[in-house]
Amino acid sequence: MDVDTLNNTFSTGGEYELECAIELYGQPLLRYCHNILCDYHKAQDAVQTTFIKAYNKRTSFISGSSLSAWLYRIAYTTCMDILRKRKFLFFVPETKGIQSNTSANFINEDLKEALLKLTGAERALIFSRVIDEKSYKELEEIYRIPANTLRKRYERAKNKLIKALEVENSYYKRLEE
Amino acid sequence: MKNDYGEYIIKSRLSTIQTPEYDISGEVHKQLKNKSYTRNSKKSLRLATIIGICMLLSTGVLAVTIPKFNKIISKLNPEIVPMLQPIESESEQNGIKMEVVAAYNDDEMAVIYLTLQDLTQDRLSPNTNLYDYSLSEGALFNSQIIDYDEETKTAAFRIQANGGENIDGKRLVLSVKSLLSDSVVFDGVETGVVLKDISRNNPETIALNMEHVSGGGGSMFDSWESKGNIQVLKAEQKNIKIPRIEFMYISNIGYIDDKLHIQTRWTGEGIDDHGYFYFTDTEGNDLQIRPSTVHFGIDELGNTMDRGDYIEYVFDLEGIDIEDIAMKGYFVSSGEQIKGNWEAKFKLQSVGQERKASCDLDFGTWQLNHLYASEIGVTLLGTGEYDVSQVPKIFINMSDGTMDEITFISSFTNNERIYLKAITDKPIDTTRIESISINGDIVKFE
Repeated sequence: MDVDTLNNTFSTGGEYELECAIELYGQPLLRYCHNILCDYHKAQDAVQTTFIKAYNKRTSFISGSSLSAWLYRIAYTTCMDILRKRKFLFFVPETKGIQSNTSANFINEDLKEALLKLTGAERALIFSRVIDEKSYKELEEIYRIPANTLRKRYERAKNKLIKALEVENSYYKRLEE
Repeated sequence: MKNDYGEYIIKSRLSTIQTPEYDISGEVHKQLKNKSYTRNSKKSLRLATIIGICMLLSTGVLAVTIPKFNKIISKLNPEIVPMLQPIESESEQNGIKMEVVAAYNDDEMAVIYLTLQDLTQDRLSPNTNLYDYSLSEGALFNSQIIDYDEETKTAAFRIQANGGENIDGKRLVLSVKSLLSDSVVFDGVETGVVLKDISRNNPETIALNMEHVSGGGGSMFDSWESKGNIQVLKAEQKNIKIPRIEFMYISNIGYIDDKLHIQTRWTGEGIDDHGYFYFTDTEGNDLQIRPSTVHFGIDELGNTMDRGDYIEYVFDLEGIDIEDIAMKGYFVSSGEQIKGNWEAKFKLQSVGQERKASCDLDFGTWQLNHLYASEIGVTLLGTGEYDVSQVPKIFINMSDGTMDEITFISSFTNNERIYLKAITDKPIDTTRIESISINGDIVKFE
């Protein structure tokens, strides 16, 4: 089934349409959630929850609009919920970012450390722009934030990540010396 | 999409993330078919409700009526929840609503949780900071954003006020006059300055009349004030740019009277752009060498004047091997200022009993005279000159023989009076405290 047909039939469809949606968007959404959560197993949970929510709430999807944006929106809020539940905030100055409690090596540890210096929302934005190459118009639909604000937040997040990666690189340089 | 160099680096690194494919469809259909997803979530909901009710009962019936209170406690360490007092006080200005939702306190310190919700625009973000704010009690304040909810455009903050007297039972007024949105923090910035390359020859200096100083601080500041005039580096003799820091540059650097002077010019438009330099050893550990600072301006004729364009950081590096240290920076660029006049009045009443002890312990540069233990921590009152690099080790010895170490200590001084606050991450039952151990010295309560 092509994208346009699915956009038109998902809200009134059934398991076949769900299957088509998973076929089209399952893997990209898994990568998206993995980048936000920095945890593969939690990303699996998030993507499953996304499709279950989408299926159970399919009648609220506006037929003919972008199913992709709608699913990304659900995946994003699902990931944010997971991150919120993992937060354990009480002011201690030495507090580091949210640490993953899994040891699967799907993300290089140093890269993960750099990514965890960003908030979940910043990681989502970075991935959407740099890897998924989504336009700000598409991102407006997913994040429901004006494009100009998103642009500013993206630039800030990008600089923050570059800085974190540079710190990591300088560490490597020191080791090589 | 065309990538700039930074995006190219990010893309190449993110591309290394492996996300193995798996049978998403199979898992989703399995969960939809056996309905376990729905059943389990109801069970979790029931369990969560029971836990929630227990928490609410332990923090007072009033809490049931305050949804924001429930949201705040979900963000906190459950250990501190029993200490929280629900507060319902709100104020709306300029399309932003402030609600003070919870607090805890002892006689010297208060911690207040509040939310700010933008009702009309999208001016708040996870990078918003409180800028001009005060509490009617306390001498030293700090605040942090602890949560931002994009859906409701609500930011939650924690304010800590220290240095109060008899806060317990007092009616307090919290006033917030402005916020800064979109602040950006640059920490661990490699300045690229190599200390051994800085000439020890006498640099050109100018006299700074301390009456022309618009701000400053640190251990040398008092002696500078009593001198009336000090020498600072001649401005704009260098132009050292620091990577990524576009709102400030080093306008001169050199040694005056064996002290390292780093003169900076602040050119950004942010109302609260600020920062400092620090030094790290080869392992990257902060050496905790803090500067004294002086803020001043320079007029067209090159004379000093009362304006804060320049900040000169003065470090005493005596006894430090500069070959092995790196100069780093921590800088904050502030964004747009949002003004208002949000005010909340409320009364705090801590539930725990405070214990007091007098003592006479000598820590070299300062003496400890009094000690107070409340359910949120231990307050040490002393006199002298506190050395922040020599943080005392504090243990609470309980009557059952157990011992808790306190790891976070904040300090401030006021006319040689020293206040140290050691805060625990869970409530202390003060009735069960046997003694407090400070660097091995035992203090027993009266």
